[in-house]
Amino acid sequence: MRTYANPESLVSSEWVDQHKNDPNVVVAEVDVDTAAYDEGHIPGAIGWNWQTQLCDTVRRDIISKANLEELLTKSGIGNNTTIILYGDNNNWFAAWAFWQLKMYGHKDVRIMNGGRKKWLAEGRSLTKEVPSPKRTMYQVMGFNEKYRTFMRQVEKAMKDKNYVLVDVRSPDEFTGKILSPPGLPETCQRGGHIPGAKSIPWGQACNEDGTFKSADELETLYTSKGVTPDKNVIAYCRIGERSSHTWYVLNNLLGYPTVSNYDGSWTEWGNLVGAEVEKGT
Amino acid sequence: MLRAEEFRSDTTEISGVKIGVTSYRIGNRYHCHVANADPGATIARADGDTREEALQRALTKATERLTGREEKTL
Repeated sequence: MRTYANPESLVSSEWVDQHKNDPNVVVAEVDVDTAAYDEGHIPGAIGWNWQTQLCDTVRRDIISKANLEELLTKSGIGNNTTIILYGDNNNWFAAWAFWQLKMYGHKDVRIMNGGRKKWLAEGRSLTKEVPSPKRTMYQVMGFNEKYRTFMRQVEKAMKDKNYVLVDVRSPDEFTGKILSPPGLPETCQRGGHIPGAKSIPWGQACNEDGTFKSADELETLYTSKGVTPDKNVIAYCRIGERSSHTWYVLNNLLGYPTVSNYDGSWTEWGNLVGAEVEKGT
Repeated sequence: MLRAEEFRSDTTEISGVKIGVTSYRIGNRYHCHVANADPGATIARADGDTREEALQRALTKATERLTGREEKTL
């Protein structure tokens, strides 16, 4: 039985319960549902809002270096802090935060397996108290460009056999039957997918309780669709968040050497004038 | 110390859209969260004194949103 390639990037809810008060550990909750934190969260955990704190709120982009430094500084996080991320819905947006922190080179960041759902289901302790961390002086030390892909690179990659594109949206989004999931605002002019992309919905990487599937199951899931470690893998979805989850799985749990997230994703590609689009399965 | 109790997670449909409904009690309040089944994004949430009250409020909001009958704020 295979083990995860980088098991240190994943911790259990039990581990978090035991280490949540460690001075070098900061636990951060990042939810799809930004109101969930206020309802009750892991004691000592800070809450980050993906809509206002983990992106550039003026232009469409990831958080800037300066804003990330300020966010981490006021969150009591130093360069050597162990950051534990967790969130609702299979750690969807916790993975979004993880991807950005790894791009900005934070050394020790981990995801709590099962996220908020598992913590609640296990009846572990919660609080409504919002911590007031002591400010640090966080300094970003580098930037890992290799984890991110832009549209022009995708245009080249779709014609290159050394690359494979993974569309992690739902089957109905992939085929073009719908433009976006029900109830969500971000949409596009055209439905379908980037020609040649493989459809592997992100949620297939998780079990019912929100934990990640085993390394063997994950390997089968991706390799059976031609997403193999010898390829340069580019994951995309609609706005880049679901694909950051798949990026985490391929990069950290399976240890694929070259994985990137095309965060422009379908809301960019499906709105481009003249972009090639494939419909159907 | 607070904790989530009476945790339940189910799936159902509203106007042909598959949804996930999660409910639980924290302290003396019941909370209900409705998300689309795929990808699991929040459609509505509500709380109440009873599970039924929280469920009804959340499902009403979700129905309004999914059927386009949501009140628009200008």
